[in-house]
Amino acid sequence: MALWAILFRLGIWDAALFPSPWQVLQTLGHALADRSLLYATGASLRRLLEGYALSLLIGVPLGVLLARVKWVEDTVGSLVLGLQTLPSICWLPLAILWFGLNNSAILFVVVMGALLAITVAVHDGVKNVPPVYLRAAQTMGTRPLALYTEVLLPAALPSILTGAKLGWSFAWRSLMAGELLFVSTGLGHMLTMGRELADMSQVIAVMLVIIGLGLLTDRALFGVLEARVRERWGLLGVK
Amino acid sequence: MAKLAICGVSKRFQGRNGTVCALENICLEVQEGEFLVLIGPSGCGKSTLLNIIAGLDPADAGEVREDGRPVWKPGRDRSVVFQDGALFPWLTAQKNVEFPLKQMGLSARERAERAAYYLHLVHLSRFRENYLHELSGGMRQRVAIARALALEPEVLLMDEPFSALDAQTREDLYVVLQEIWQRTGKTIVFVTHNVREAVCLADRVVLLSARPGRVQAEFPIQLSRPRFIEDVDVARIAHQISCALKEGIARVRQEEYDEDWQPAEAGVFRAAGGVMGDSI
Repeated sequence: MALWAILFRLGIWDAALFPSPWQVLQTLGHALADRSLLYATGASLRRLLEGYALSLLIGVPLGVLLARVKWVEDTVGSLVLGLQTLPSICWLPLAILWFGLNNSAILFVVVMGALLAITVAVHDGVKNVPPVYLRAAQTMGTRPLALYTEVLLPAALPSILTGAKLGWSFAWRSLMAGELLFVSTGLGHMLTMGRELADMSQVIAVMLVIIGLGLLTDRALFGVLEARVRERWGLLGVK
Repeated sequence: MAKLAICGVSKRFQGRNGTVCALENICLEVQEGEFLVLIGPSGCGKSTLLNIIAGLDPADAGEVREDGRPVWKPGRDRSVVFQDGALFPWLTAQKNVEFPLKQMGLSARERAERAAYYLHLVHLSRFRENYLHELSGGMRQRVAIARALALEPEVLLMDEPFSALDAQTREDLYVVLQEIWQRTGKTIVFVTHNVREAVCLADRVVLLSARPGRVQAEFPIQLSRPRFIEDVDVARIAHQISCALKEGIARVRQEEYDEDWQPAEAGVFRAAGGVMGDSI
C-alpha cells in the first residue's frame, strides 16, 4: 500500500491510468453503497458455487470409476487427460453455440474447468490407495458399497481434497474469463465495464475484491479442511 | 474333525524367469484351539498359503476346508492380522477396532463396548481416542490384533505381525499374544521367518521348504507356558529347527544366485585351523 501511494505521488503515470489507493477505496465504497458490487459478487459466487457443486458431483464418482473399472480407464481415461490440456475458456464458443448467450453457457465453462482437475486428482488418489486396505476390509466382511464409502474414499481423502482445491481455483478462473468475455451481471462484467468507461479505479477495486475472495476461500475453507486432514493422518510437517 | 484342513494346495506364479512353483501339494491339518506356526525361508510361499487360507487368493489346485466346508472367499470367521497392521489412518484406535463391527451391523453402543473390551485385552485402553500416527509401532500392532479379535473369529491368521517391530516390543507382544490365546482358545495360524519366535509361540511348528514350497518337517513344541524368547529350552529347540531350515536355504541359494557364488562357510568368525577356546 505504501509503495503504491509513493508511486502515485511520484506521478510517473497519468492519474487516470494509475489511481491512488484513496480513489480506489472511494470507488469501493460507492460500489458497496449502491449495492452494484454486492449484486455482482452475489451473481458471480452463485454461478461459481453451482458450477463447482456440479463438478464435484460428477468429478468424484467419475474419478473413482476411472480408477476402479479397467475398461472405463482405457476408454474415458485418455479422453479426460486430453481434454484437461485444453484451457477451459476455449469451451466458451462451443458453449455459446450450444446453450446460447445465457447463464448455462458460463456454467458449462466453469464445469469444464473444474471437473477435469477434480476427476484426475480423485483418479490418482484412489489408484494410490494401498491394496492392503482393501484386502483387510474384505477379511472384515465389508460389503461392496461400504468398500467405497468407508475405505476407498476416506483413504483417498487427502488427494480428493487437493483435487477439490485445484478445481475451485480452476472454476474461479474459468468464471472470470467467461464473465469478461460475456455481458451479464458479475464481477468479470464489472471489470469489463470499468475498462469500457476507462474507470481505472473501478478496475482495480474489482480486482481487489476478486483477490480477497480467493484468499478468503483458500484460507478459511480449504486451509481449515486441509489442516484437519493433515492432523488426523499425522502429516504435519516437522516444525 | 480338524478345524482347518489344507488338502493338496498348490500355487504357481508367472514370473519374469518362467513359472515359480510357490506351493506344491501342501497337506496340513490344524486342530481346534491349536497355535500353529508356519516357518520357512523367504520366498517359500508361507504368506501365500496364509492368504489362501484367508480366502484372499485362490489356490491353483487343492482346497482349504474349515470345519469341512471349503473356503473360497474372505470371511469374518477367519480374521487376518497383516504384517504392517493395515489399519486405517483416518480412524482413531477405537474406530479402527469398531470398523469390522460396523460392517456386521452392530449398534453404536454394542460396537463401543466390544471395541473397548478388546482394546483393554491388548492393554491399550488409555489410547482409544488416538489416531494411528500418535501410536508406536507396537501399539499399532496391538490395535490390529484387537481389531482382528473383535470380530470374534474362529481362526486368527497372522502374517509376520511382529517382523517390523524392535526386539523389546516384540517380546512384550509374545507375552500378550500367549495370554490372549490362552484366554480365548482361538485357533491361530501364525507366519514368521523368525525361528525363536516360532518356538516361543507355537504348539506345532511347520517348516516349509522353498522352490517348490512343501512341508519339509513338523516340530511339536511341548514346553510349558508362558514361554519367553530367552528360555534355554526355546533356544535349544530353535537351534534344531534352524539347522533344518539352513539346509533348505542352502539349496535355494544354489538355484537363485549365480553359479560362481560360493556360500560362505561358517568359518568367518574362527581363526583358520583354530578351535574355539584353544587359546585358553
